[in-house]
Amino acid sequence: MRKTTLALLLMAALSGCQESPSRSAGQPGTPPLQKITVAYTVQPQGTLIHVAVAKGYFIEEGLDVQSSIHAFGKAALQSLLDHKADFAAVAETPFMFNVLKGEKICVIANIEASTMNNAIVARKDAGVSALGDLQGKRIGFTPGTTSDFFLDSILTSIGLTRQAIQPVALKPDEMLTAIVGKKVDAVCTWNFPLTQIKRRLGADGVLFYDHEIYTETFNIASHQDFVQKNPETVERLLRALLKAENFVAQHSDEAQSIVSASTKTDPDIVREVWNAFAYQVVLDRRIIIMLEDETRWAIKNRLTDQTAMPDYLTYIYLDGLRAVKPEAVKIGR
Amino acid sequence: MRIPTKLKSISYILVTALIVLLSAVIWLLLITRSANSDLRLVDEIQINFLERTSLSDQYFLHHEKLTGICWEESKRHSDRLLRQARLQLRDKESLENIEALVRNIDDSAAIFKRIVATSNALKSAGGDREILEELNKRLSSQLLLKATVIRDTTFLLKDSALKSVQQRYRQLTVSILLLAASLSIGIILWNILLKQQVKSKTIHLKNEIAERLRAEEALVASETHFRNYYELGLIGMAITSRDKGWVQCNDFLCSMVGYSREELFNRSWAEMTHPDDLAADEEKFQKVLRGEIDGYTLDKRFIHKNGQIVQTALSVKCVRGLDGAPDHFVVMVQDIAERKRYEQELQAKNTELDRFAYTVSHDLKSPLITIQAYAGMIKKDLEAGTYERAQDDMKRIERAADKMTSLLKDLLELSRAGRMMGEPSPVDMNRLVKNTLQQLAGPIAGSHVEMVLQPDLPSVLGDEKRIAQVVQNLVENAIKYMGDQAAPRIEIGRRQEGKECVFFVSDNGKGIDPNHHEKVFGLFNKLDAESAGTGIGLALVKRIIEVHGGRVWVESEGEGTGCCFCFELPLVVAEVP
Repeated sequence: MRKTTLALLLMAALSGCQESPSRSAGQPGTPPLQKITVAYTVQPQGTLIHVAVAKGYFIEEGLDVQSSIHAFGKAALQSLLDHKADFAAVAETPFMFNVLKGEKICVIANIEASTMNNAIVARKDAGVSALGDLQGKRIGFTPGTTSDFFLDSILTSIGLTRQAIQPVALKPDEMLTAIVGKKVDAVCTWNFPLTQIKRRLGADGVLFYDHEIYTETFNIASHQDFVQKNPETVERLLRALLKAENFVAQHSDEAQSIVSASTKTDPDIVREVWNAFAYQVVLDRRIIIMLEDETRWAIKNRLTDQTAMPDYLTYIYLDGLRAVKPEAVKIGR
Repeated sequence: MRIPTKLKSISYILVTALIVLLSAVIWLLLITRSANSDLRLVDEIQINFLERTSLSDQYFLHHEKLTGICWEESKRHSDRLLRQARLQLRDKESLENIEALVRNIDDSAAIFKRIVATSNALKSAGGDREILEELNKRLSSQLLLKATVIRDTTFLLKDSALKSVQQRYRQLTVSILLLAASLSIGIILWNILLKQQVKSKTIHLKNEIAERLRAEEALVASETHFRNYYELGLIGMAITSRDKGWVQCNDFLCSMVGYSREELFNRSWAEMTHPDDLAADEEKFQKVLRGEIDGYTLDKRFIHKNGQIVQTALSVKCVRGLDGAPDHFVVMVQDIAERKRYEQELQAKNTELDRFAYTVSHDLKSPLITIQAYAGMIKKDLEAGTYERAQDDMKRIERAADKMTSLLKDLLELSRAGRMMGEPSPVDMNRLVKNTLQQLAGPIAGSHVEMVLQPDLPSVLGDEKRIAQVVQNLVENAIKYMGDQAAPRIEIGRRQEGKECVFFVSDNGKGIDPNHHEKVFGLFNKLDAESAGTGIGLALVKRIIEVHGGRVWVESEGEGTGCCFCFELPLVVAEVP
């Protein structure tokens, strides 16, 4: 009895987070909402999803979105692969690895891109004041994620290989503790942990960006058979995300507040990193370029058993976005 | 609202709409031109990007320095184009795209520089070659990724510019259509209203023309009436000038004075006025000129072209101008010859009446005096007892009374002869003479007069009884004054004198001294005092003939030559020779 009461209270609280939708289940004359689960992160890359949930855009489109919150995209994608979610927000790297594993997944839209989200933050007291100082240092990273590829790229840019450092596999939420606890000399990660660590290290920390060597993309992924069977659901989801894109473009401050609240992140941090991201619902060649680039990297470094480049166009579902915003589809142009 | 007001309102609205639409069209032309210019600029940016992409590919193939320099030059050109685009493009979306282009092109330039640097490093690389090659691949991928973004952004920019151009052309087309529609509607409305106006004006004009025609007809009728009155011939009418000239005149005046219009217009009325009447006319005319009177009437004589005197009654009225000065004169000239004749006749009648009254009083007084005298003598005779003388005096008184009775009877007859007894009718003179002679058969036979009667006397128009009195008196008069003629003879007949038919009663009696030819027709005038009769017979004849419009006279060379009484009477038309 107590469990039931708590569950009802929790549902009421969750629904209270959303603005009054213009369309809701149970209203006479309206079809019932379609229940779907979306796995996403508490990272800034998921801003459009946070805004769509908070502004009730999913409900407006007839979707009752069950949020499956994760620390990072790879975990969100795993939730999708485990069929615990219908859609997942994930960067291109975990997606690429799972494609190489033979997963029948697809990207239905890119919802964020950034060249400034990934960086290495190091402790000065570990003797790191320049990129070259990273040689031989313990560097924390999250394998199979963008941090994995970015670390490799930034090392390459200074003529180093993975063998020149001591890579330490860490989950994003482990990074802060590891570096503060001096278990690592540096970490290669993304926001918000990146800025949180930088702030935490303060003057003791040093940050290394290279926005010319890598472009991160964050995407909505789903099972291929699901999107084939539920094209209307995909379109509804995309329409909601497009509404969120419009809202973010027009109400930047309010969007930041929503992200801050929904990710439980310091608003200052949200504001500090805000301009590093471009929030657009598109499908362009960037995702293919990055997937192919990272695939070559994965094959070369034997991170996968595959040796041939997959045709990533077959892993991108164009029809959904083409149906709701044709001009946002720039592949095949 | 009246049609001219509607036309004015529509004109104002149309002109305002046209000005607004024309301004809009001009403005749209300008912004369309600007949009086309934007499109050309975007095209140039796109071409520049493609050129740089091509240069990138060329560099990746050959790693030639010159290609890198061209790439850098292309980038500088790109910077110039983007600076121009920042100034030229206006809409927010395009400006955002330009900013995205600037960022990505700058990024791609930085990446390209690193690729060039890495490529240069590769030329002298040793053991790190593999890493450098991997770096170049990563950078190339990023360059390709940036190129993708730049390409998509230039497409967006071009889409936006194209949409802008299309929108401008649409707006321009709509504006031109609106302009054309406004013009058409305006022209149609104008046309409709103008037609209404023309119709209204036409009706108005028709009414006006009809009104004018009516007025003109009335004027013509009035003028015709006036002209008719003017030319009617009842009176002479004219307009004269201040210098006494004739300006206008009617036919009647012309015929009155015998001049044609042209002749009349070359004369002054003063020239045609009888010298004895000119002074009086001049005096009154000058009074009018001086403004003392406006007109005058005057009996005056004109001199006819043939020299005869024309008796007229003149009425003159001055018509003055706005300044009061005489402008012209309206003159009416009445022919009063007949009036004058009547006046003369009246004068003669009055004279005759005076004489008649005198004669009557004198001749009637004579028997009265006789009666009075013999009555006194009878008184004396009776007082004296001389009854025989009294008887004789009584007889004298009776004779005087008879004479007086006879005088009164003849006077009564004479007064009756002064007027017609009935309407004039054709009188057969042959029958009338024969009947009269039959009535006088006794006196004719008693005096042994031979009566000669011409046949085929013409019929006359008149009062048969009166004309019979004329014939009877003339025959009795001829018998009475036959004298001692041994073979008395009286002839009744006619003779032709020119166009005139003259009846006559001639005899071979005593005859009449030519000095007494007029006197014999006077009342109580007897050439022989001892003769019987009252002396009224020939006066009666004269009165009857004159009442019929004829005339009577006597022809005689003197005593002992007989005489011939002639008279004229109006003939029946068929008898006029």
